[in-house]
Amino acid sequence: MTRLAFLSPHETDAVPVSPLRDVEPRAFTDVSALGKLEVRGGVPAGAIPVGPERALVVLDGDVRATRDRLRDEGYRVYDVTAALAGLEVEGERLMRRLTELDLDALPTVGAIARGTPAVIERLDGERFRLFVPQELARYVAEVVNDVAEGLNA
Amino acid sequence: MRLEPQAGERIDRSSPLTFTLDGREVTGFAGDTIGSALYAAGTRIFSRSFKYHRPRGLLCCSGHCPNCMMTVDGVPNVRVCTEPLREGARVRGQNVRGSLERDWLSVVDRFGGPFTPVGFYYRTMIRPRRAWPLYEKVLRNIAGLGRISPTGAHRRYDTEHRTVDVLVIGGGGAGRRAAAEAAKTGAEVLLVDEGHAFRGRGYEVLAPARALAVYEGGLVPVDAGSVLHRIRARRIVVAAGTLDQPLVFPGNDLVGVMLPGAVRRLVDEWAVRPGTRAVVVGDTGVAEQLRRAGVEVAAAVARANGLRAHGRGGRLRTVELDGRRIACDLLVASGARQPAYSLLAQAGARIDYEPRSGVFVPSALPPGVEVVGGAAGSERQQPVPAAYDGGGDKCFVCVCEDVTVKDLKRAVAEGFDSIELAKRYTTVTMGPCQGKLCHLASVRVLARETATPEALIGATTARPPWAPVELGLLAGRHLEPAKRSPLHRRHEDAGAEMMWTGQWRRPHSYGDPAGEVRAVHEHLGVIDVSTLGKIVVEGADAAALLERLYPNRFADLRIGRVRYGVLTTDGGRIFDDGTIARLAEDLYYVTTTSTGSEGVAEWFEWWNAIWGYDAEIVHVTGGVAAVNLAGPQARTALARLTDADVSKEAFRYLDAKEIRVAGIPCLALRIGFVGELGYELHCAASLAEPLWDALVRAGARPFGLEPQRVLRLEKAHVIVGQDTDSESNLLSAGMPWIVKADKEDFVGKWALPHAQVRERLVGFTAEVLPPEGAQVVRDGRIAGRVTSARSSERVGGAIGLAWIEPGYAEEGSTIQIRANGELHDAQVTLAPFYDPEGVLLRS
Repeated sequence: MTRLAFLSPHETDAVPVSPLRDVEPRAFTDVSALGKLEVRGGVPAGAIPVGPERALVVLDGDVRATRDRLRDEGYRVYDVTAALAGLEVEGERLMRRLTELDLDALPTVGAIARGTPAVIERLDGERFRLFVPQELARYVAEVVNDVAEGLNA
Repeated sequence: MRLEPQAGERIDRSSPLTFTLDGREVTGFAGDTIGSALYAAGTRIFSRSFKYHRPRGLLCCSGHCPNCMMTVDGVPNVRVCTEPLREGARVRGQNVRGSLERDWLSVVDRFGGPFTPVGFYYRTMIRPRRAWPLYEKVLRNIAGLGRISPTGAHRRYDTEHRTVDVLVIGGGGAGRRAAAEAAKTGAEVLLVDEGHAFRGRGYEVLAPARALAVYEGGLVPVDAGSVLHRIRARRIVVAAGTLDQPLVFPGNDLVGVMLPGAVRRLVDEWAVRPGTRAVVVGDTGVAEQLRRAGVEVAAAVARANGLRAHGRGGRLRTVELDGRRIACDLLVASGARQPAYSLLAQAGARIDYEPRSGVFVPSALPPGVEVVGGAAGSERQQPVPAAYDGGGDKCFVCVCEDVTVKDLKRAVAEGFDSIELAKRYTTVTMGPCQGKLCHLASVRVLARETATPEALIGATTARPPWAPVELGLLAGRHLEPAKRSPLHRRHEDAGAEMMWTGQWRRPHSYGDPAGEVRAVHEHLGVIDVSTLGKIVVEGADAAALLERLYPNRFADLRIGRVRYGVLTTDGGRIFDDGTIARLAEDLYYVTTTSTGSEGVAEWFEWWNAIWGYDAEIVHVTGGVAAVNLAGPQARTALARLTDADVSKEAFRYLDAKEIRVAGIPCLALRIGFVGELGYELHCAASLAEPLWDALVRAGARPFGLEPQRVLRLEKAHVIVGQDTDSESNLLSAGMPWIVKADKEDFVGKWALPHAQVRERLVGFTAEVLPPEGAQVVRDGRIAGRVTSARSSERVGGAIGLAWIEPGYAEEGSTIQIRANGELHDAQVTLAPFYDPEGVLLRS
């Protein structure tokens, strides 16, 4: 097995389970299956900076190949696919009810839904992507659904 | 009674709405407020005053004063003068015993004077002391404003965050001009106004909404009814205007005494005639408007030399103006127009009294904060007398708290002659209006009574909120962050009773804790320990870093081996524990307690940054699931699920191996918190379910936290935070073997020579199960406390851990523990209760 294989869901044929499986996706799309790599030692092109010399690489492809490439480039790389749940949501107002972060300064790392740490990026137009610790994913998803309900009330 | 349609009126006469006041049906129109509809229907008494229960009617009609506070649909203290009318609303008078018209507590007004002077609650009803419970009951019942229904339905409140370039507070002429100008520069501008919504020119309008405060960093919370907007602005423009100040004269609270703004709104917005015969003092401009509305104006003067109002049943009947006695049912009386400076003061502006105009004005604004319009205080006006008192009816400075000129005089006479002290003693300015209508008057009266210039007395501190706000709005939604293990669904499906441990939801048990304990001892159990903190430490200096963080050694830990470690603070106090596995020369895997993971990860990062080591700290707690497979059959079960050699010889106690279990890559640690042969299996969180399912299929019975606590106690394994506290050190906790004092340095080494053993942590057995926290008693003195206790079938009786004085920490010595009010004998045990040699763990 490769180094730290037990962190990764990409080293087996077993089917991973989304941490959002038990929440009805009324106001979000579950993108937890996207590959996520935490990179140390710099910010590779296209990655989201998450701290000094730290970045998150999000990819919809061969995670192991990307990991190996980044390691070859001299970064320390950790597969955090299983650690972070991903939610795609739509609407600036919904985001404004989730976080006090400046939506004109994305991507960024900050708190959503009362203190849950998150990586937030803006896709196109009013679409946003949130990555949150998987253990808080169900809570965050329930908050997202609830906020959407409040906006539609 | 409604007037002919007025230009710009807000009511829709084609759309009547019906509601009730104290059960009686009332009709108004769409566009009315509850207050305007009630007034149009003839209601004059809207509330009873706070202390004297005097009848009170509309005064400001702007949502500032307390006079129209009523209970609407169960929500107390709604200012009905600004609350939009809705069909079916149930409106009730509040602070009333009886009815608004006849409130028997108004006896306090007539006869209560001698018994209820200012500050009476500090000095009356004190003797006889034994009567206090009765006094308290009566006072408690009478005090307060409104009643909250404990069973009432919760309204929905949301919170919304905004960042804008410019925030304009106030939508009058000056505010709108400032907003339009700022918008022209291309800035994102938001204007907040208490009044009706309107379309902004190039800027956004949030109305009706009320700015509650200005906090540091330009944060302005805005109450928009059911949504609290938390707005951060780079520039704040305050255009809050001025506040008409009531005049202070005898009878100034009678029903029928109004401020000019109230009269204007009643006529202009809701086409309601405010009275039949009026006297105007102050703002004479309002006289013409009254005449147009068909009100006879008996007198209108800009300034009175003497003023007194008389009434009957709390309602205005006559006014004595400069010696003339005039019959009337409406007195429009106003003094200064006080700039609404509170938000500016909160932002840090200076507030000074301006003697030429008789009002407080703001200056020295902090960066990023501006003021325009009336709030700036540039309006020219003549000061009015501080009060027209001297005999007659009560002369109110503060209608919210029923504070009179006499009360202030008395406070001064008693020595409370500074405004901040007088405020606290009399509660003037501390009521629902928060000083909007009484702060100026109270300072002026105090100045007069102490013969001190107002400028020296100064303003009281302006604190948020600027306007009353529902607590529900501040609280927002009832959503509690909960951390769930990736196996949460499996626990629910298995019927687990879930419990909170910190932020985590964890299975207490699956319904049969004793049976679950037996399963682990006799066969095979599996527990979800995904909540354990997990940290990867990688880098050339990983070993050096851990060597300095822990009191024990990790540089000599062989690859593939595990060692127990305890973290101590700089002061040598225990703050976390866990296991450390070495996976490669430069790679360690650290586990921490469940509640300590974030603190430990930060601790590692902090020291790593200070020491400048080449080591990455990767906090992987949530991303990695962990289960503990434990019991005599653990090896056989594991062997069936893996190709790896897990024989006793190949996978020894305290070995760490990366193996596949049911095809899933796992880090397997052969350790045992629960005392039986066991393996802790760590895998990617999203693969936890297939791993768990495979283990359960292999015969493992899920066990919860409660059985785990029994099992670990049988082994006398310590839970940091439960059995230790912020004073515990390694010596007193019985773990001196962990400390490698010959190491050059580690966190807490400095404190070692100073470590004291005031208590020792020991095990005990007892016949009666004591509660955790119970006292340990020896020779009639408190000699310690119980930290953990459980009944153990295996040991046969109650077992536990306790801190006791070192002198009693001897194998077999007898101590006493207080349980259920009685003392019970217990025997001290220094070794684990179960398998003291650890034979099973190593088997």
